[in-house]
Amino acid sequence: MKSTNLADRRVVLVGQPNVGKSSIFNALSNSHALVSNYTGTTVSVSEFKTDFGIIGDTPGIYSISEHNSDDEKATVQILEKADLIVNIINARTIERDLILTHQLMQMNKDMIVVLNQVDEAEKNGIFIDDVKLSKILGLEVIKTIAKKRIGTSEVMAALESNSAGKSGEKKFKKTEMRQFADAILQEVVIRRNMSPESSIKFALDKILFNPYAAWIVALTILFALFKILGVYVASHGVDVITSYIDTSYTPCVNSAVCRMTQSKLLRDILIGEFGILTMEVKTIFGILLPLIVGYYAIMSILEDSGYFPRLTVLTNNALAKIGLNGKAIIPILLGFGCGTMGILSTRILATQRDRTIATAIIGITIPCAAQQAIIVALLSCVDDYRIWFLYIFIMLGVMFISGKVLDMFLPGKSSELLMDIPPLQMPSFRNCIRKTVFRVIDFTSEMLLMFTIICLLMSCFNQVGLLTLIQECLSPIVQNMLNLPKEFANIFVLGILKKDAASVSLLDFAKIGTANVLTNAQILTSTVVLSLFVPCINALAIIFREQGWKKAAALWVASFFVSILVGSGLVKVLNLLYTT
Amino acid sequence: MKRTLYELSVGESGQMIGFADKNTEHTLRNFGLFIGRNATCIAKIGPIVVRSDLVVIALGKTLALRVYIK
Ligand SMILES: Nc1nc2c(ncn2[C@@H]2O[C@H](COP(=O)(O)OP(=O)(O)OP(=O)(O)O)[C@@H](O)[C@H]2O)c(=O)[nH]1
Ligand SMILES: [Mg+2]
Repeated sequence: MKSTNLADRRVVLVGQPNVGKSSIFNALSNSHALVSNYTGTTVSVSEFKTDFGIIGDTPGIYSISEHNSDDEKATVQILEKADLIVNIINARTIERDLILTHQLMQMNKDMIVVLNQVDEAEKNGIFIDDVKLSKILGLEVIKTIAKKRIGTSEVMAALESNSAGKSGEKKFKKTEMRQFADAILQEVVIRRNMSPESSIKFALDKILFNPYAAWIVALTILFALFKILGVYVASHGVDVITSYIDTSYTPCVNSAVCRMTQSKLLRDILIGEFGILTMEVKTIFGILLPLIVGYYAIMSILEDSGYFPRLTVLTNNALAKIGLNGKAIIPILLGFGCGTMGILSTRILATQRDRTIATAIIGITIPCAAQQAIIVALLSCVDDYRIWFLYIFIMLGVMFISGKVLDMFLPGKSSELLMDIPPLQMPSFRNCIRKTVFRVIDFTSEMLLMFTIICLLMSCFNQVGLLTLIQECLSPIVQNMLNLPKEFANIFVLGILKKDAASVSLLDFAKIGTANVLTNAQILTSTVVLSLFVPCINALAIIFREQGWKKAAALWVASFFVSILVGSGLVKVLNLLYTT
Repeated sequence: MKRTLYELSVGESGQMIGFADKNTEHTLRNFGLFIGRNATCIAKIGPIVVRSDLVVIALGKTLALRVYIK
């Protein structure tokens, strides 16, 4: 049964959440799994082939038991197929981590123990005698500081030399967990009283756990995010790049294409209204990319610092009102980056019910980074500050109502918050840069593909007159209910495919000749409708995979109607506002 | 009436002496909250945040009400 070839055996990294499995995985395989300072960063198994085996990084599990959730069961299944288990223990919390170690030892497989985060443990006065531990367990034990890649080459060497010991036959097989842990704690853990750990961290935690101060910090971060992205990046940064594209790049490409081909169709596809070389390039590189880079850079810093778990505690009671607990703030925040990422990380929520509600909220009300960028740009065309408040008020309102409705109608009760709060840490520059770069590359490659398809489709639709036909068909909704010009139907069609693409063309629309093509009221209505409009195709694909086709379809239809209904209601309110 | 973890005020400590049921006991043991150990409340803003030895755990109210202390 056991694979004999070193390179073919399955090596599985397991351990409790946030111990540093992905950090070690990255060190062993030179890949770039996400590393963040909160439990539940890794949500699915990823594997990497090396000379010393197929290494698998798994989502963290606290223990193996009949109460494991479906995702934890996935980790357990991978474990059963493993030829070698690498059990990663957080040295700081060794006592509770030993529970899992004890269970893993019962699996009767080759095993290595890695004691990670020894730096953090020693700062807290916990010193572990790895030689003694190795003797007691009868397994190889390696100390590491994965964050700094200290000790990881020893882990690699151990894997290469295939020196792992069998765990099953050892004396602890039948002993009680408690005795096992006590024996180890007494013999190998040395405690020294350390002067209270870094007083800065302590003071910061005092602030982040103070109900008033914590809200002030949260709002300040939100405001800074808005200021940096919305003002510096979105207006100044984007202006510089787009004006370069408009003045230097586009004319060049235009004349080159015109020289190259006489075909109207080809010209339309390449440089027309939805031109691959013009509209697509400008949108992705001129508008979206600067914002995405800024957004992910800030998010990486927050993820690395350990702020998210603290925010979870703070927002717990607010989220409880819509049937969620504080943990849901993490997928929601990630959803502000990209809906698909947010929806994937709903897996960290404890129950299917929580996941459904969070997915619906992300799918309906959370605009992704690309879209927010354009929303900010759009709303800044408006010289009436009330529009901003109305926008935020409407979005929060819809979020609250959709959560509330689901909370009422879904069977069961919302689950309770239970979350590990890891120590705050100074964000690692290297990790933040790496995460930002890889996320931006992912984003750009996906965007390039999607936009090319979309631009091609739209150009073709345009050629055969399909867009005019759709405009006519949708005009009762667009013109009569939403009080928008009928060309807005194009934006709807785009929005079904990709909401950010749609927002870009809305922006073009609103800005045409700087004349008042759209009134303030129309800008607000169109922004709201588009924000609430159906999730884009890739988000839909993920919802389909995670929640099944029924819920995906229901969510799609619901968001369609919600956006139209809210939009037409808004038109009535705005009529009152602007006529009185 | 037994005292529960939720009744701790910020800065106060108590010794955990039992859990309302086996399930809670197992779940919390996984997080590092063991019977017989002390827990110190470090925040109470909706959920309660406690430190026990070197772990810091946030618990929702109903969950904290299932942990008995003295
Ligand atoms: N102080 C210290 N921090 C570390 C060490 N190794 C990893 N970390 C930090 O611990 C956090 C979690 O690391 P990950 O590699 O994401 O942990 P994980 O086990 O994959 O976590 P999940 O995927 O959530 O289960 C990150 O903030 C790392 O920077 C270490 O040796 N010392
Ligand atoms: Mg991980």
